[in-house]
Amino acid sequence: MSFSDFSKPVIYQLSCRLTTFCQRRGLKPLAILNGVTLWLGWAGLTWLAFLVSLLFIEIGEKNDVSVLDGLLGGFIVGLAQWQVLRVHLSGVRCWIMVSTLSWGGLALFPIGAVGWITPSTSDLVSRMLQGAFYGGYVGLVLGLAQWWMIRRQVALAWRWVPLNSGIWSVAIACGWLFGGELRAASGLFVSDVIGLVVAWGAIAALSGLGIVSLLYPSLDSNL
Amino acid sequence: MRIDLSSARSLLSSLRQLTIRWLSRWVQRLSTSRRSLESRISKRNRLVVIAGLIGVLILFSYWDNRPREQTVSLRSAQLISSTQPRSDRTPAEIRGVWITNVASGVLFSPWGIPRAMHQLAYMHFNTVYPVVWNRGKSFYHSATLKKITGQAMAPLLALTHPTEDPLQEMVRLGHRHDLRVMPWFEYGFMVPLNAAIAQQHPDWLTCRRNGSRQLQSGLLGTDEASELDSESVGELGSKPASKGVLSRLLSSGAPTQLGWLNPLHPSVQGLLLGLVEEVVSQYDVDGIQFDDHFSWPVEFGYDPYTVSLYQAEHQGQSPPRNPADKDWIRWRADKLSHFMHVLHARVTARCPTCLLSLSPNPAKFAYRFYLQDWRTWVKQGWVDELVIQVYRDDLAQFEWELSKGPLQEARDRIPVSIGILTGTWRRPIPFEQIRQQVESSRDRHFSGISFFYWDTLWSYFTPEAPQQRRRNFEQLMSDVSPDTSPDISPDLS
Repeated sequence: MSFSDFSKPVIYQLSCRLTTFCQRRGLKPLAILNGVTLWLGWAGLTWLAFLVSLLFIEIGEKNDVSVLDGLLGGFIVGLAQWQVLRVHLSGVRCWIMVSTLSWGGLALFPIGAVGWITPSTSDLVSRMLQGAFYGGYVGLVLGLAQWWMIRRQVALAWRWVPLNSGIWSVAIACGWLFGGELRAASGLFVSDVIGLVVAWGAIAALSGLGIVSLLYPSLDSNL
Repeated sequence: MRIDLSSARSLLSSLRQLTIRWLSRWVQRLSTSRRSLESRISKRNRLVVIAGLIGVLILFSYWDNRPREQTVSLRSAQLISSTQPRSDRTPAEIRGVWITNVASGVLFSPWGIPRAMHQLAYMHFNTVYPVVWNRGKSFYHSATLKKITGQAMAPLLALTHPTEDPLQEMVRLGHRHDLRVMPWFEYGFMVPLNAAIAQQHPDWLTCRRNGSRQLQSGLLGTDEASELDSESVGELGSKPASKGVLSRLLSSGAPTQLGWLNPLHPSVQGLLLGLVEEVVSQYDVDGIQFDDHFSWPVEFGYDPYTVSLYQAEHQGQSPPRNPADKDWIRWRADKLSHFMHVLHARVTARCPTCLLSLSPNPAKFAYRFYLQDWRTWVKQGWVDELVIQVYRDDLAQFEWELSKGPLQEARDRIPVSIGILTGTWRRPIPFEQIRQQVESSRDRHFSGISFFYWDTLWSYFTPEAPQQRRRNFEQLMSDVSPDTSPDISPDLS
């Protein structure tokens, strides 16, 4: 029995169920496929880009991450996101530049490039509150910059700003909390790095859902 | 369940079409972009682009350790005069660090060694002890070991260093940064029982009275030992396994069963001498180092070879049943000392400028539990530098160790520096403790300090953020006041 003999009926069954689901909800299968592709690509590549950035950027506390680090991190993440977006959206050539400059700019100011920094406190409540505030701030700045990019092509693009801010706020708070718990248990700074990896995973997944809902609103309303 | 077959089929076909379209688009794009690029970029421009890319790569590789080579060189020039013979080139303050392969990626990542050498020089270190012998494997191309086990180097290391021998790279880069490179034979006589050498030559291993070749769990579990060399103890598997999942994960690569090569066996001695000779004659090293594993755990010595040797020297009497018997300890310790003498003579013959450094535990413990009579070795002039392992968390205990007689006795003869634990993955150590111990050693005018180990100096595996830790070390290493200069009386006669 070949692999295709086995896989064919499975794929067939899956596609049948998907088709039925689409029919019930009044959705086009191709739109679902596009949405899923966008989400998978966005979430996967954003997270991967963060992991790649760790080869060049050393995570540290507030002042440890320089403007150059911010620019580099922004470039890597922007490049990954642009790679996914350009298939679904035209005129996003400047996405990389916007991401690079936004992160560079964030690193210039006192709060810093939150995506690559960890809080100095070990108190879990403070970590959560700081994470929520700083994450919200970063999400807002990035959201504004990215909204400016897509405002002409995407209807109701303004929604991206509060959505992004909320996602960053929740994800960074959770990541810093998780990192703090782990650090208390292990006593090692690497725990905070793991916390940020988790946070970026959440950011990638949730913002992926957000971008799908913006670019494919029919999916969002019917699902 | 009702299934609409026609819709399913259409979905399948659209999926197929989409994939084909996507693939063909990519192929088309690749070919057109290549054609257009080829037409646009001349050969010369291509070279410029390649050179630019290489430049960017080089820039990235030196990203976080922008050198102050001039400062370092000037500083090192003050410490070491190149006109002096190497044996006299002990820096004003020894600032060493051990580089190991266990729980460390430095030897295995392509940028690991250059980065480490660069950062250490920048931080005013002047000595490195890179591992060359661990777990029955060598960390350089060893013809001696290849003859015995068929493997010239640890396989993973051979894979990650296809072009240059890692020790060669370490020596080349170390000397470029004015660092003394003293290869460290970390495992000494210790060997995992599943290592090729132990499997192929079980007769080379010594054993306990009950015939077991395995190092007894709890051997070092005395009060003195419990705090003493927790790193060695951890390696030896004498400590009860940590409970945490993370701890279990981190120690997953460690050998579970350890044995001991018989220090008296001629083939074992030949192996160690062969390894040492290779290193000192084929590499431009500044010396070599052995540590507490160049020893003989007190429980061992009941193997047929040792027993027959003992009987031959004691009118047919068998060794005492008690491994801690004073005379029995003395006899074995003397045999080990004799081999140390041979080793020193061989090093001196092969490389007159090479130093023989030893990093043992405090004297009393080293003798009673490891049969390592290093006081005699120092007195006889078989050791050129001593780096005593004082891995204590409690400052009072640490200082008490520094005040012990044998240490004072040794420092009258040779440079004695203090080995300070900067942490392990399982036992992170805050910088404050390190600072106190360094200052305490300096206050007592020892010849320097050496840190165990590279990966816990300033990495993610420390309690503080790496950059914070680097700032602290930078300050600590440049903070030497004249009144704390080491008190070395190089009476080597």
